[in-house]
Amino acid sequence: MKDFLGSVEFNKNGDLLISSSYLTFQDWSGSYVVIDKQELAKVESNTLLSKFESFKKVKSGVCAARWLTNDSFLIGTDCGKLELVKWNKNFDSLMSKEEHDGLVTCIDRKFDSETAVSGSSDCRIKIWDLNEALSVKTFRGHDFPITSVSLNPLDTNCLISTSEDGKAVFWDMRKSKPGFNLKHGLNSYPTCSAWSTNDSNSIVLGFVNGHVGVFDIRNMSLGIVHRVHERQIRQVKLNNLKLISTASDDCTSKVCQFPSPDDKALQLIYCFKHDDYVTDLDWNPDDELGYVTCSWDGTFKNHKINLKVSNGI
Amino acid sequence: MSSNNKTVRCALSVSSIPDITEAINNAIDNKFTYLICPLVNPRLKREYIADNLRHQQLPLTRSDLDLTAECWQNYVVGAAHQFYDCDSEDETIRNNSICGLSEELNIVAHLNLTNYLVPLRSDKIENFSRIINNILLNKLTMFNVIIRVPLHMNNLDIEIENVISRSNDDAPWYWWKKLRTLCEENTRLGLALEMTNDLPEDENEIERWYSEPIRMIIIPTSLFLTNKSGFPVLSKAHQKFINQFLKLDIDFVIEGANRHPERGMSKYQEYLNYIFKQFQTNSVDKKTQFTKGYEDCLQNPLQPLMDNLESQVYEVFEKDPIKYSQYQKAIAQALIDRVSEEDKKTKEIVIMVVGAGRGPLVKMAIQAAQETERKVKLYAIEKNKNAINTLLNLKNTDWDDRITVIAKDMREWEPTEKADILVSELLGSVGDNELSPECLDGAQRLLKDDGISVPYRYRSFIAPVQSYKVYSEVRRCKEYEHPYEAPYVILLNNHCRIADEQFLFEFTHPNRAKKIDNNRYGKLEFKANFDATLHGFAGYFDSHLYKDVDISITPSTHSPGMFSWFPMFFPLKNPIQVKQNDLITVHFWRCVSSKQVHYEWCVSSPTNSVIHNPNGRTYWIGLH
Repeated sequence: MKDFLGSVEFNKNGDLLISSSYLTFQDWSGSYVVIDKQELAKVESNTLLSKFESFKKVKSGVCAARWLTNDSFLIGTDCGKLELVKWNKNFDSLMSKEEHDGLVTCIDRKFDSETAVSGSSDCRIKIWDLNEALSVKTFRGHDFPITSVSLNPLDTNCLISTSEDGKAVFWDMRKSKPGFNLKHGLNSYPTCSAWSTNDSNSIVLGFVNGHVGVFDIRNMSLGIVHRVHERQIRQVKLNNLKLISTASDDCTSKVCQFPSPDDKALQLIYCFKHDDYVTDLDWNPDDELGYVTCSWDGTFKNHKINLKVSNGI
Repeated sequence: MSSNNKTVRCALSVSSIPDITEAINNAIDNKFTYLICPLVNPRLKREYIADNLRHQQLPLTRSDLDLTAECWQNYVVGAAHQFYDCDSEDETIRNNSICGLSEELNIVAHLNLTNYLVPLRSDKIENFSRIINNILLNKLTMFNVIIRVPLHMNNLDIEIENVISRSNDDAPWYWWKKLRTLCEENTRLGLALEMTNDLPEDENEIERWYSEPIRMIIIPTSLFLTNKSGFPVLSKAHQKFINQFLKLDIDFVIEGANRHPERGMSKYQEYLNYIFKQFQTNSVDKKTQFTKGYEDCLQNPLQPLMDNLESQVYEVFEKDPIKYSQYQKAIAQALIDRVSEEDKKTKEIVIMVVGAGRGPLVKMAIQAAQETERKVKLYAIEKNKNAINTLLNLKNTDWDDRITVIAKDMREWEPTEKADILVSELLGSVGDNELSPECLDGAQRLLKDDGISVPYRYRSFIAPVQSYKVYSEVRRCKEYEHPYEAPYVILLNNHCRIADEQFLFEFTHPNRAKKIDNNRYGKLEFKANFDATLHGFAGYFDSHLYKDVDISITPSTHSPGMFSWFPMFFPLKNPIQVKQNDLITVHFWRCVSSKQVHYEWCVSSPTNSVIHNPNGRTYWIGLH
């Protein structure tokens, strides 16, 4: 009952990593579980995390957990720690660095590589070399807490960061002045970001007021912006079918079609309601029409989109 | 008021506390005075508009039973760690934020904490200010609201392209100024200033911060350097900054990851304690010894003509090491000028000390005579019967027949002979405010036509001042119906001058004018050195005792080590916002009637104030 699920993610094999935090009561700790693919097919989605055999408690809240390889993952904690964990019986720690001055609010990494990036309420972004187990760069380019970091999957020299200061910044690590502000034109701050999987100029930003914007970073003013949710968007992700899935504090998760240039708005094709904020989601690597969401209602949920039926909404 | 603190007050600020007991123990074990922490989990953003969300059935936060009430009060300062955007353009965000912040403030009141920290991020703060103001005016809540801001916003270590830079007045001081103006300079409102890597280049900016009600200086661990022995230290510039603010009664706050993990967080506390001890050692001189504890406390000016001074008051003033040596120097100089070396065996000089008190000036005159080997005859004139008692005792034990004690008001006594030198110490904080002009004009009958008055001149000086602390104290003052119409004597500390002081009124003695007029009118124009809030005017004086022997409490010429006078503060009813280079025009009147003397003052630019103290309705100095 105390679980506030905070993140969900599949590895390439389809094993699911879930993180959770206790945000009230006496003990503000965190936890995570890994549910392997076979087990996942059998479990009820409202099973308490602590019922899983792999349940691991962490001393401090866990905001995000992300797979690095098929058998290791990163967690970011509320005490500013980034930890690399081996998926084995004891969840051995491969690296543990408490370098952020505030909560770690977001993590991204290139799968099967040594590169990761973390963002924090300390307004800083850190680039990590996991082979060397150290942060190689720290950027204080935002005035207020970082809300998301997204590495370009096609080019890990590039990433997007978003912040409560309103800015979405495009970073190209090869440049001497690496940061470039992407003027989204909204009177609201971006809370999540995602790259298109097949086009390294398209990005999607979710905003604190429920707007979703699809932008070409070369010309931000041509962005297509639409209020998809009534509250903050916590997560946005695209898949190869050009579907945009979103998780929001309005308790819903939605799927929209990536707009064509003359579209004025995003076309909604799927909606699901949880009993509390939807905090994260991930597309299923084995099923381009399947994705999973997790929520503060304590559950995670598998979704299957039927494009034919959905088109009728 | 902290006097002789043994150790520095230094708090540890954390953004996450999985276990609060452990967190407090950790802070205390590392020598911190208390813990600053979120009361509600920083990630527990709540929904108040929609219904039936699961988290709405859960408690807002941990139970108050997790700590004893005493522990909450003594060791915990609450801090808002999520940002409540009470002034968002988005109605749901706005309403949710307002509810969230209000709920946190209720917890602070429930736990009976002393301080609560809230960050400020822009000047869009009308809703926020309203909530804070309501809390501050609520007599049932006791806690201080400490507004947290960085020193400035140019603290990015990397330049981002394609960003429109902030305008100059979109800066933390302006946000704060707006908030404190909206909340009417409440005494329960304070500031926690976050030190930044780069300090403001303009000294004025630091001075201006200094005049605000700074309660805490937050020092991120990222600002610490590592010395050769591996200990955390601050740069010279940061040390200087900190030392400046140590003159205020502030707490330090350490925040951020431990960057010296081989040593505990206590190393940061120990370093600050070292800085603090150094500051204490360096600042202990005779002057601060006497003035410690008086900083920024309002005192009503003395009324020496109406009331008799008490023994303690005399004692404090007599301890001044500078004032009396200047008087001795002045009298000695006058004696030498008056009696040539050849005449010194034969010529006798009459010195009258008017307002002799318990006799310090008589002593100085005797010493001056001994030093210069001049023959003197002394009269000590004093109206206070109790001081006469002291004088007569002194005459009996220490002095001889050359000294005559006269128990009369100097304006009434009829002497048998006239004085060569008339010595007095009747000056107040702005010179004439204890009615030295009226007294000496009345006493100059006692002086020969070519006689000397010591002092022979005094001048008042005025400077425009910003001081949140003093202004909020004046507002609270219950003594008068119009407390902002009375001047106060005050050791100004937590303040800054918006422009340098200027000369206002002058009086000279003896005054041989046919018709003496001690009424004065003065108009001064100041150019503001920086954007500021004008809370009032500081008044000072300088006085020439004889020739170039002088005493001064004017900032630019202050006699080193002299503590007998604190400046005067003339408040304004409503603070006036001024911009850099604005012309501040102030008018002062000194009005004399048969019974009393009073001042009136007003500002006519950059905007008009009211005329303060009309007809002396709130403050006057009685002549009898």
